Amino acid sequence: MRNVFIALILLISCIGVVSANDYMDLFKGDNRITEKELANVITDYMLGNSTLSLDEIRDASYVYIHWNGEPKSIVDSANRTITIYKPIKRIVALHSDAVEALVILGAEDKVVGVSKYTKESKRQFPELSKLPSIGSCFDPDIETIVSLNPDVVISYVRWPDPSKLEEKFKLLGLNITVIRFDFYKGSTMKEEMKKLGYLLDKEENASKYIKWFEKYENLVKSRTPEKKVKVYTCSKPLRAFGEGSGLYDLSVAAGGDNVLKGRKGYFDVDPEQVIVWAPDVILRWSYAGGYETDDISEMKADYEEIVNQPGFENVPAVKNGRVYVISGDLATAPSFPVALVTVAKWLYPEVYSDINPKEVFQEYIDNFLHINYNVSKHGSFVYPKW
Amino acid sequence: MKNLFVAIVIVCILCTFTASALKVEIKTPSVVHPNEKFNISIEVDENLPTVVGVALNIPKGFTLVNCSAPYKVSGNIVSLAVINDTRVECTFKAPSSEGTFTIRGKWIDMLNEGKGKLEASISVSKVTATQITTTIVAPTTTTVTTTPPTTTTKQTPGFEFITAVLSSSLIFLRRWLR
Repeated sequence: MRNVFIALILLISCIGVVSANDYMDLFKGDNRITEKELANVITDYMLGNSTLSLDEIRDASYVYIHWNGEPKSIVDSANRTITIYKPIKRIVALHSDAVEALVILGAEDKVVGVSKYTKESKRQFPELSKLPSIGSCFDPDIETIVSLNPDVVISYVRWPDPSKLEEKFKLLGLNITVIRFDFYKGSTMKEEMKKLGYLLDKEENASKYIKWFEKYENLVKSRTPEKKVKVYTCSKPLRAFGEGSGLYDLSVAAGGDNVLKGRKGYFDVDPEQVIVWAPDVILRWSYAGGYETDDISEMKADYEEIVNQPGFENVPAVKNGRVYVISGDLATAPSFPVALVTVAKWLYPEVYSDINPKEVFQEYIDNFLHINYNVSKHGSFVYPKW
Repeated sequence: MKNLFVAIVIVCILCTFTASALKVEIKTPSVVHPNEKFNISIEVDENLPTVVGVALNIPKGFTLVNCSAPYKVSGNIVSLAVINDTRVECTFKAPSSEGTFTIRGKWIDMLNEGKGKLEASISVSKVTATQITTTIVAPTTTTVTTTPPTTTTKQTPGFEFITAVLSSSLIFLRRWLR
């Protein structure tokens, strides 16, 4: 059965390649569609002599009119040049952060497949959670992705491994563009939103988001005291989130002096090391909580796991009641600016007494996610509670 | 029955909202002399940008001389590409024989989903032509509205019927639900 499927895919892809080559011929030479070339394919089509389909001619017309006849190129966050030659109409989003970005950009109508995690996010994505699942973002189901016939697949930079995605498409001879954008790190969020907005012709919505992002980014920058508090970022008490992780980025952007500076990625640490670092604040990222549950008990358990960690009773953060748990749904997502003011207020409560992070969050939900969701009544995003 | 009625109303609403906004018209002189050169114009009634493909089935005996837009000829079909333009003119030479001929064609909006048909009648006669007749076919319909001489044709987007059905349906629905 699997062989039959692969054979079918190869056959379909061969047909696709013949057709795409004809379309791609329009870019030969000067790498752009000229008026003469467009007129040529239109007049051929109207005479019934065209090798291009009506959809392809409409794509060519769109590119000629809206892109000045030229393809669009960007460099994705995996540092690869991505070039598209026709408007993107069908997107498979392998992770929920990309889905959230697509909603912000107003491109949700282009999404045709989502991960199993997005399928569970019925409150956050009431419509998109109904779309077909392509499985996990770490090990996606290639057959399902191919059956959805996407123009583009958006995945994390690190996951899945190219052997589970790009290389499989290549093996099947499929011309599906994979764009690797994280949409969970504050340090790359604006750039990723700008680039995706450009590819999707949604620059205006991208600008609106970036402007909002910068409002809070600049606010925090302007208020960060010279004497910074020491922060330790982790998931489990001894599982550190170092440089390059979304939580590390968040702690630094919020004005913290992260004790993990110079240590990259996700790694285990000895409890003694944390005691030696003596962080003023411990910031824990949690899988629990988020938009989909009003139950705070799991996040509370995450909190208690840290404060009850043997030896941690002498860590200043624990001793002074400055341990905080933040849900991944808030901290490492396009809602980053909300997390930024939340963490900044945890680090420097006296400096941000006039800021209510919950109000900033509601502003984000109303203006960018466009869902009927009252953050004062629903969800569990931080512990201790706001 | 109730569901069917509601479904009909919804379909009518959808029809109204999905109809193409683009209008393409063909304009010809009503009468030309045998062997006379004359112009046919294709007018696209929408703000730029526009990309429209046009195919015209030219009656036997007529000869295409030139067009102001890129064109191709295959047999008796002329195809045109109207790119960022709202008016294209083609010059034809009339046949030597007299008679009334019909030019039929179609257009496709290459930027959106719209398409429609074109149709115009032209008489070849030794009698001197005095008036210009305009023939318009609304998008996605085959209705032809021919103006009387010296008057301008009212454009017919094709929504009147749907609007009438919709209005009547809403009145019936309201009465029925009481």
